[in-house]
Amino acid sequence: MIKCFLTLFLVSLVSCNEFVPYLTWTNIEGLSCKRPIQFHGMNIQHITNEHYKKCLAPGKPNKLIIFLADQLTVEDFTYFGRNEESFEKTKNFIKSDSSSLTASVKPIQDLKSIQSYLPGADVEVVKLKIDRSTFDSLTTSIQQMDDIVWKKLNNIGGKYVAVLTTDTTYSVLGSPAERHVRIRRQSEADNKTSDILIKGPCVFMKYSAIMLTIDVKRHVMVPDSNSTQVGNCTDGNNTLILSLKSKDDASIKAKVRMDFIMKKFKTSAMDWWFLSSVTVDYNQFNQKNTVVSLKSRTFRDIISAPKNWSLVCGAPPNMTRIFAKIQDGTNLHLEFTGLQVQPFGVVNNTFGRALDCEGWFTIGIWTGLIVTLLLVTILTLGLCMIAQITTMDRFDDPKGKQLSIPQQE
Amino acid sequence: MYKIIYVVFYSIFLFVVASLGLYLLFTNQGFRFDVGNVLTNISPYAFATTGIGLAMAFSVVGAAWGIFTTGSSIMGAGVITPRIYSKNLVSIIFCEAVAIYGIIISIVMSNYLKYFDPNLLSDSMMAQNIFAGYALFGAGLTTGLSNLACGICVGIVGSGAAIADAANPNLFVKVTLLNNCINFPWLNATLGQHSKQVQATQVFYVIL
Repeated sequence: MIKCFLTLFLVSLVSCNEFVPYLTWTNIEGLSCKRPIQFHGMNIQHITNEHYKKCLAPGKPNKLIIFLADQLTVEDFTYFGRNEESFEKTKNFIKSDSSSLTASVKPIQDLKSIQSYLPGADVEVVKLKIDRSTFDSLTTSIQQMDDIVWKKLNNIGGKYVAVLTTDTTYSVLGSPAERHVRIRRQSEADNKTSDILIKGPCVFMKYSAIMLTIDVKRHVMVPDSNSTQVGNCTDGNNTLILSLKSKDDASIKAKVRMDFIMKKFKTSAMDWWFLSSVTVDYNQFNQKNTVVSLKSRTFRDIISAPKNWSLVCGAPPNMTRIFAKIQDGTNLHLEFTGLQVQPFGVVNNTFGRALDCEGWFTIGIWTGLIVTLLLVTILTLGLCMIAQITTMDRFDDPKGKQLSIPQQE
Repeated sequence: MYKIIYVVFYSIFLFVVASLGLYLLFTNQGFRFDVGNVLTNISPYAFATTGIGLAMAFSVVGAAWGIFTTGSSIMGAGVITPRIYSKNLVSIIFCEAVAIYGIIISIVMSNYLKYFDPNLLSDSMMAQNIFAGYALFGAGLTTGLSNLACGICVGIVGSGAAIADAANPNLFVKVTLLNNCINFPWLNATLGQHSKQVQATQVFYVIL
């Protein structure tokens, strides 16, 4: 089985490009012919002459069923159908039969002519449609196609020969390179999720997702209404207020107020902007609003960048407010994913130069390096010292008097 | 031959560091060379436990060095005068005691480590916890290095004692008294230094 699909996979790599898959199997038992050779680029004459005429025709099949799938290509098996469940039933057919064949052939228009090689068999052509508009619809149609094939073959009485191929020509399908580019583009388009972009007058922010954890329950938040901004853009104090509601439960609403400040720092002699305070005003289950100020140490040094720079952070640490005792208040965690923010100095409606919150070496790497350096230094010194221990040769004098050891206590 | 290997590694290392520095300088990212950020964000437990480990490790190295010195002298002198073996064992015990001191100090220091949640502490408390981590590192390093020196010294004196004892049995007691005198001021120095730093840390590891 693997060999069959491996053959098809290798086909997709080679640039001989005008072949389409051709799968055929039968339920005739007791055939005396060996398993036919399968390779890519087979001519259909080879299959019909060698395999059908000499091997299957003596078994006297009653029916020849040709399944014509819409624009079937090798990639449908190797890429789109690589899931275990896709083509499961077709795979079972091919596995169980020793005279099954998986090949790739030049597409032929008149498939009914195969019938002449299997005299006595009635031909039936079944057209299968495949919906290729999105990745999900494609995988669903592949499974549906599989089911149709299985149902049809189960309901047939008697001996049959089945063929799964396509009648679409090469010019429609395109070369393998073109097909691969199409596949890649399609999978990228399907995987892209939307980022939320705030192009406010002063603060520009973009994020993939916001999660708010109230006590222990984590809610994915989506924008409830447009965000608002406070402050004129130039005096070093900008505020952004996000209005959010929970994605699953619209009764949980939160207003997140983020205050950004720009200040000159003496040590680096530069202007830096930083997120100075975050206040979350939330209510859940239509109860009273709770206003909580998050702990500034969890974000102040992280959401910060020099003047005119933006900050990019794939996974900023959670901004939290937690209490030691339950009766003091409810724990709150605010989590951004895929954040990019620039609250000052935005030029041309695009983000400025970006500073990544995760540097080249993380803190863990630095700790590891320091401790490893210490260890290796001590080890090296120790080994060097041990290596220079020798016995004393001060009194060694090969020509002198030998040492006499008196035999007494 | 080894010199060339050292030269090659060192020059590669220097080249990498220099080009990294120049890159940061010329692309206006000099602020990314941030020592303070690294030192405040490394967990205080890392430094504290390193200090505890160094206290024990260096003490044991000092003890081993001392025993090496004393032991080889005793073996050498005892070839001619085997009577010195039993009495000079006490010099070896003095060296071993140095290692025991190191172990005791590290056990005591490790009892000061307690759990804390950074999110629950105020800024000043967090700063004190970070200081406590460095203080324990300093205490451990001081203890270890002073034990290292002490162990070497005790070993040298013990070796002298063995040789003196082999020459003249009356000398042993006097030299061993000298050994005691070494130990006492050293002990004061180590424990005093350690306890000062430990007092600094005692208050600051809090659960809440």
